[in-house]
Amino acid sequence: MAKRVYNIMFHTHTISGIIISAALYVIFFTGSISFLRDEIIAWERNEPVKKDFFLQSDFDELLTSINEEYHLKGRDISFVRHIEGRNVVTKISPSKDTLAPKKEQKGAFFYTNLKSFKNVNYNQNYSLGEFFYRLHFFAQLNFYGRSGYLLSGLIAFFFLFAIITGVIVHWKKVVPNFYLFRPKTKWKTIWTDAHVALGIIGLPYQFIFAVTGAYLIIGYTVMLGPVQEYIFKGNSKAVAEATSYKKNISYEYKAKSLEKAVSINDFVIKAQQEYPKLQLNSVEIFNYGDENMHVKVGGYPKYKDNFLSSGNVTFKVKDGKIVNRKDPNNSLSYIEGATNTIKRLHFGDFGGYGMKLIYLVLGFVTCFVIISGVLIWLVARDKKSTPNYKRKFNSWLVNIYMAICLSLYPITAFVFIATKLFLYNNGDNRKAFIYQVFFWGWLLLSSIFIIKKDDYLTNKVSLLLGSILGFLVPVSNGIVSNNWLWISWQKEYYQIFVVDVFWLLMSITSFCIFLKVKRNKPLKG
Amino acid sequence: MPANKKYLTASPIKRVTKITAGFVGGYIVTETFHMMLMTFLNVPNVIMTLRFFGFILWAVLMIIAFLAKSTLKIWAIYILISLLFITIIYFNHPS
Repeated sequence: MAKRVYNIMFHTHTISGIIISAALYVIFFTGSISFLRDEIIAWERNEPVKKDFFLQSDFDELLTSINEEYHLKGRDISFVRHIEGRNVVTKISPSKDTLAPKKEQKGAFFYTNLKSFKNVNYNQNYSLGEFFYRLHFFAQLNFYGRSGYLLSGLIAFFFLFAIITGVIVHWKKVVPNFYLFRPKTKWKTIWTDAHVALGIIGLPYQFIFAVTGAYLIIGYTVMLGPVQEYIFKGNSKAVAEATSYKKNISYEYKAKSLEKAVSINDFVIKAQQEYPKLQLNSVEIFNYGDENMHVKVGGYPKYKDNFLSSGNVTFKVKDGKIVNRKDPNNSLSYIEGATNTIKRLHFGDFGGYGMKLIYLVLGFVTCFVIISGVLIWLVARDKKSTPNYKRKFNSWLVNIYMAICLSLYPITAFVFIATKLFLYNNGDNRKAFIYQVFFWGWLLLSSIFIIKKDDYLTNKVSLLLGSILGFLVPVSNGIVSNNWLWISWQKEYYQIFVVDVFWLLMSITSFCIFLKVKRNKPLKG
Repeated sequence: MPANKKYLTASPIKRVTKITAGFVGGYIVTETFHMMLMTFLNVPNVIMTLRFFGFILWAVLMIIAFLAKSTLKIWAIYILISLLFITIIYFNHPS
């Protein structure tokens, strides 16, 4: 490779990397935690679910209960379960009956517990899982419109840029350098070897996350702006329709009452009989109580049966006949296939907990690649020929980066414990509580580290605090809910069990690293 | 270890033009390329492709812009390619 190409690639890799580093670390760390989002939600609410939970739910009873408050006649109602837990998203449309009283001309949106039929709003439904999931695309930074989403999306894009330039830089020596690790030499060599070897191991994974991440968060807004403007003449609805594989069907409202007792549960069971391998997750009801009432039941196949597809069955309630269906086995369009491939690759939900574990480990490996990259940047500039003020600035910057990034681990464990111990009610303040504990705690801890100005100390204290607090996460859960590890295993509360085991493993691993880390002066370089 | 400055763009103005050529110019080429494809192929499918492949193409175009020897030339090339795509869109657009 020409020296010029090498140096330009090297420089662009360095600059793009150092700019996105701290933010990317936060994205990867919180994103890795979010692989367990559904489990964390089940853990913090102490509400484990079985696989067939949705199928076992009583929708007739539920509708009776909702009907008291919302008077459902003439409305469309949908229950969709995005998260493997007890709560579903309930949407109720305004009544289509033109003579309906004013109150019924408004729609509604809330979360419904399928077991207790309790309805809660977004804030009451807020959870740790939701918090980490949203933090990993900076939803908390949406100060101006969607500024947080845009920021995280651009970081994903520049991450892609850094990956490609990084591969070009290392291309010539990619094989020999992969086997190279010289732990007893100077720091620069150690960080470089680790950065290159782990970067190459994680390369396919990181490439997947850069592309799918950018697609998921800004693929629509950034990429489709001009398309909407020039191809669709500014019609945003037409773009939305063209990008979705779900076709919106509406059924006409006849304004005649349906003279028949209806059981939604029967339709759910019938739909399951049509496609026995489908995992149901949605029930949509059109024109409730009307002569032209329809029920649509939908779901996804298990990842073992089919990686990409989805299926649904629509019944006309009056005669109970199937009027529309989508076979999960042979109805795949390019758009649906692409959408679901990207989602599955990003969420890692296609191979059970083994796959999630690999994803988790690779996620933390990526965090390490980011940190080691920043440290290369520091030590490569820490020499006599660099002006003193620059060296000061560099070490100051890295100091802050390290403080912010490394304190994330103990504060994450801390917010888990705090939530478990002090947040067992369903009040409106859940979100505020999690925000306050997490962000103030994070600020406090990283400020202490910044003032201490010692990267070694930052690392050591973070690891120790993290492993102690991490160990206390399953303990706090045991004390509050009495679901200790062995009990949740016995009772087959696997979601709760997985979260506790995750923290135990984290705690043990980081404690071992804590014992290993020593302040040694490597050879002068 | 930092990159050898001999090979990097020194003048700040040139640097800005280079970065904008990659970031803005690359974006325009990516968009016009896919919109050109939309006039030939199934529109929703191309939109889907643009949403993920667009980022890869854009990143590659950014790298090419950084490697270019003349900043004005790379801007000119990107503008000409976009104009070519726009012309095709103009003549091939159904309405």
